[in-house]
Amino acid sequence: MSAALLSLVMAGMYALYTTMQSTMSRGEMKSDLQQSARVALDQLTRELRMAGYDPQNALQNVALQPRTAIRAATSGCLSFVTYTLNRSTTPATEVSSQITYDLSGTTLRRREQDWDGSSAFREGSGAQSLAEPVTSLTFTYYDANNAVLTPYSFTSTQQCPPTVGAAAQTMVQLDFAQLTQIRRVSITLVARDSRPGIFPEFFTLTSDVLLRNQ
Amino acid sequence: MCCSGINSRPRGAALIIAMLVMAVLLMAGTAFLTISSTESQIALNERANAQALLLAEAGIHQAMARLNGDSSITSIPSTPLGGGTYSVAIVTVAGCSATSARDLTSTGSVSVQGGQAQVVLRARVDQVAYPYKWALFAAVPNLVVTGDRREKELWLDKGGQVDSFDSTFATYEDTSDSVRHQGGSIGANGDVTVKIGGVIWGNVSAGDAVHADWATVHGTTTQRAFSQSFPSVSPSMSATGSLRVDDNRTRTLSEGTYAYTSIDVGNNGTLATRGAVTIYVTGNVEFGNNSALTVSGGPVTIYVNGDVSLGNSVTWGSDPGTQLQIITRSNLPDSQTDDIPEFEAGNDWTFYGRLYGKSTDIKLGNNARIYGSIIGRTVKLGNNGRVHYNQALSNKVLCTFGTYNLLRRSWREVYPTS
Repeated sequence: MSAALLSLVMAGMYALYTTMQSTMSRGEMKSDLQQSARVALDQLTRELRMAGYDPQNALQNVALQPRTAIRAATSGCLSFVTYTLNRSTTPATEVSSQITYDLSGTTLRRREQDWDGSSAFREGSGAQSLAEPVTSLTFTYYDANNAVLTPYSFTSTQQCPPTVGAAAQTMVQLDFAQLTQIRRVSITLVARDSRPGIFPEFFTLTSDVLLRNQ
Repeated sequence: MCCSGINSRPRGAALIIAMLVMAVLLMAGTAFLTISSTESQIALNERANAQALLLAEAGIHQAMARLNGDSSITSIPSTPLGGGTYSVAIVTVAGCSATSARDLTSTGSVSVQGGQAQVVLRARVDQVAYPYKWALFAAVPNLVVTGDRREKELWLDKGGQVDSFDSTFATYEDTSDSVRHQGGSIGANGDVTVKIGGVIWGNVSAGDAVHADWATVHGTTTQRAFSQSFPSVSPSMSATGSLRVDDNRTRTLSEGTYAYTSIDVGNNGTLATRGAVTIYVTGNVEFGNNSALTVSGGPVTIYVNGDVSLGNSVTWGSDPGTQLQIITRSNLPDSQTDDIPEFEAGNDWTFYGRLYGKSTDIKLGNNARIYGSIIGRTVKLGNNGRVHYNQALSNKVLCTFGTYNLLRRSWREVYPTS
């Protein structure tokens, strides 16, 4: 009798334990998801906010279009000029950099290239993985009147992510005139994670960036 | 009594099991608590960081406001606001004048557990405005005109055309039609009149009515619900001598600052500049027929307090036109209707540059060719005027010698160097 009671209690405890374990795992997974998405979006907004601050005057040097701080823009990819610190010098020096964010599969990538404007683009060779798994990354562009600038399909060597020496190809993106008109960028990032035996978790983060230097 | 031994064993086991269960629950509870307090601290830190950024921005705007009242301030001490503090360091640098610009370093701080969340922003401010986003604009509020309707605010006579290009990419001649047709907006705080045959590729904005029944407007038309304010410009200037260039002669001004009571260039004469040149003219400027103002290097800024009168076939500036800026009288009250300075050009005037005369009536003859931007009190173009708005001018500053504003492309967050 007492053994049966003990079994019953133990079964209840086990059920309670597994439920708690599952809840805890989901909580951990969701907080990991949120943290990684927040860190990525925080870096993106911080860098994009000052797009156009150009310590080496790279934008004055470039001979080819576009000569805007926003170098290329599609609904899922954004490349722009801002500054980074060269910490190999003492003291650290400010350098103009071309930074590109895009989504490759489910990986949010960031490419950073020192850039002095001597070529139209620098091609990011070492893409750095910022966050995964990310199911969607969407940029929406607005002009000074808060009207949406809609990417459209046209043929150009301009691409996002920028590719040096690429042949002209047709791509849905903003044209040169639209690039000069961007004043605000809205970013939506959807992260998703799943583990065995746990329902997948989604987390959507949005941020609005007013470009201070445009 | 026979079973007391048997009964006592389960009672002891229950105690141990209960203690084990409680230990497991305690461990789970502790883990939950740790996770949630860490998450909560992360969220608090993030909020503090966002607050610090906004405080630092508030510091920059506070510094601009304070500078507008007293340009001699050199810092803003630590000031509490919304649960944090901001402070601003102010350093004088050369800008519109040798001591007009200021470099601001603003620090926003918010206390968090274990220290401070801090954001440092830097930006440069100067007494500037960015008015050159129009191909043509008449700044005066709506006038009550009973006589010649051409005295109204913005008037393009027959066959006038307005389009755009960007000289940083290509000259107007090398710009494709598809790019030319992407802009070139005109406007007035009063009426806009575009006569028959007119073509406007950009927008038309009017504080009062738009009269363009026989013209083509490719952009949007806004009327009776629009106004745009423009800053006054009041440079301090004094001069003792005049500048005269005789007919068929050339006079070259090398890099520097000049002040004249008047400038008079004869027929076929040329006034040439080399390098960065600033000219103050307290009186009038006259250019004869076929005369020219040429610009080599730059930038070149000419302030004129009096009237400007140009003959026929005069050329001012050269491609790309981003180096030449003409500032005519721009500090009279909007309500003033008498003694308004005039900028009057004959037929076939060609102009590469930007002309700002908020208090000046601008009248151009037939066949004017404008590669840039013109803002006047009123603006009138003769027949067949061609205005090609240069989009590269939208980032060009106008030194106002008045209100401090942020210089574009100077705002940044300072990253910690260690």
